Amino acid sequence: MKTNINSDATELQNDQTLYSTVPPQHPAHSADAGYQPTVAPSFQSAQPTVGNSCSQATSPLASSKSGSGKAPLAKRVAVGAGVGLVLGGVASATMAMQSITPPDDTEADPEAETSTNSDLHAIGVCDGDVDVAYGVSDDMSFSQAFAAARAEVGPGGVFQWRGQIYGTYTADEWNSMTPEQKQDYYDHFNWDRIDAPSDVVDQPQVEEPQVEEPQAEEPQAEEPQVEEPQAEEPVAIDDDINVQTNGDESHPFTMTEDSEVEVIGVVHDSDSGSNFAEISVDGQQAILVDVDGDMQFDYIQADFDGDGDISSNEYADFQGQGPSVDQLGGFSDGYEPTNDDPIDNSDQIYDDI
Amino acid sequence: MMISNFLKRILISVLLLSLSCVGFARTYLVAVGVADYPGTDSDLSLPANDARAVVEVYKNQCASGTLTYTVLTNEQATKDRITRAITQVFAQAKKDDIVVFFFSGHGYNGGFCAYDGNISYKQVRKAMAKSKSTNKMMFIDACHAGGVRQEASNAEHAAVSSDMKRANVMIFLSSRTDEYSLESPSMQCGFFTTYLTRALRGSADTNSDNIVTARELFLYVNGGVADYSGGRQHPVMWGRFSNDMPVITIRK
Repeated sequence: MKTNINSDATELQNDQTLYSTVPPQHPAHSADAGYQPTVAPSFQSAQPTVGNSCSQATSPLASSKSGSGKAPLAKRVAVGAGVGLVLGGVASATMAMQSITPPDDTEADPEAETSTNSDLHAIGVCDGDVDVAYGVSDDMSFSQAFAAARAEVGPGGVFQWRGQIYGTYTADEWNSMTPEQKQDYYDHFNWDRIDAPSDVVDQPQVEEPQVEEPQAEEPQAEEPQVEEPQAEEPVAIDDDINVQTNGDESHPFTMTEDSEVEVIGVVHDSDSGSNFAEISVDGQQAILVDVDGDMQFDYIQADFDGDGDISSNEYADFQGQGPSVDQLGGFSDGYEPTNDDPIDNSDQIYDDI
Repeated sequence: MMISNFLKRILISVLLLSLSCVGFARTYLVAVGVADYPGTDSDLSLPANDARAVVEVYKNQCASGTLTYTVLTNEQATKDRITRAITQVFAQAKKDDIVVFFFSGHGYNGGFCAYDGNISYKQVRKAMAKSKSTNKMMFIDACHAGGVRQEASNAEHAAVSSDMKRANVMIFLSSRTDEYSLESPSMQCGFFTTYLTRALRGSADTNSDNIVTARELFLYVNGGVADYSGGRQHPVMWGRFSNDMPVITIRK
């Protein structure tokens, strides 16, 4: 898309009145002079990291407990010396990430699809703080798969095997974790993308300890309500945040059961064949329009945005349920609709050739 | 002529059904611009103007009384205040309302620089996720803004996916991961914000339906910025939304 820079420059100069201060001139910042931005300030605090440290999954100082999903129902399946923490199956529903970029942008997001060996990060099953082991194949036994995943990512990781998602903690490691640490691990998963663990055929079950019920031991306070504001409870805005509105509260057109509704008039427009009704609702004007002249109003126009004007895009469609001309008292301009039916030749058989 | 109670009930029930489809949406805007960082080595020219310019556009386009906004510039734009502003202002929004976060200033791969510290996009997303609004937009005019997508392929995907199940989320970034976001002394705003504000004023409304959609916005801003920068800057838009998602309604 070409842009006329010259006319744009004029327009931009007119915008100068919007601002109270004129920015200082910094020749070094000129794009025309091969501008290079100044160095971003370096702050003392550590920058957030998206790392693959397994300790992040276990540390109580790791990312927020307000995870993306509910506390999971995870089953433990002991396999030999290890414990595969069965988290569930990859949900069949997928969500495509839409990215609008120029055709030559090489950073376009690929469509995410569920597959046997999915990129669990890419399809949103877990975040980048949980390492995913990809050196696992379905033709391995579970013991082999667990060992391979463990060797690849260590404890606190995750892998997919035969359609199910497993953690890589051992029994000892898992049992030694506090409830907070376990919840922290769970919080790295998007439980909306994980189906409940199913009975996996051919899954070796050497022993099956009691089903772990995290809900019993995890703080319920960490439910998604943490991300949802309390219903109907107004959130106060701190005094140091200056909040403003753009003018006085408007009075958009509204109607309630207690509204006083008066029909001002109903008229017919012979040029268009349409019928119009003007009504007053609590003193606010509205126009009903019967576009096709079938004596039933099709939509209503009113000042819905409260800007004092009824613009062409301020209308509500009656969806075929609008009132009729007769229900509003008939035409007030004396118009008498004709009773002639429109000619319908659809069923005519012409036999007089 | 006063209509009968029977007809009034019919009219009200029909109108209420119809009006439920009419948007009385409010817009909640948090605009942040940091040009004057501590010291002088990191100072920029235009970000504070950028934030104020975006506010002006929304003030003009939103019907009277339907826009709630706050502007944080320079030393006001601390990490804590930005996060609280996002959380508290956007918490006022209802489901059909629109929440918009705008930032202009220094950025890095994964976040941007408030006056006194770094804020990751993850933190911003988490703060915005608390809002009931199902129409969320983020405009970032900062260097390496595209880094939010790189991070998104890891940490953000899961988190954003959860939010996306409930909301339209559109994130419009001023540049690719490996690009700078440019500004010029001959302009009042940075390249991205200049074209963004023009687009929101109606220049992007290519089909003249008084609504600027996400796709219209992208095509206008991306084309303009890429052209004006000589191919050095390419805005990127991503998220969960339809091409026809209304970004702003143009008032005549």
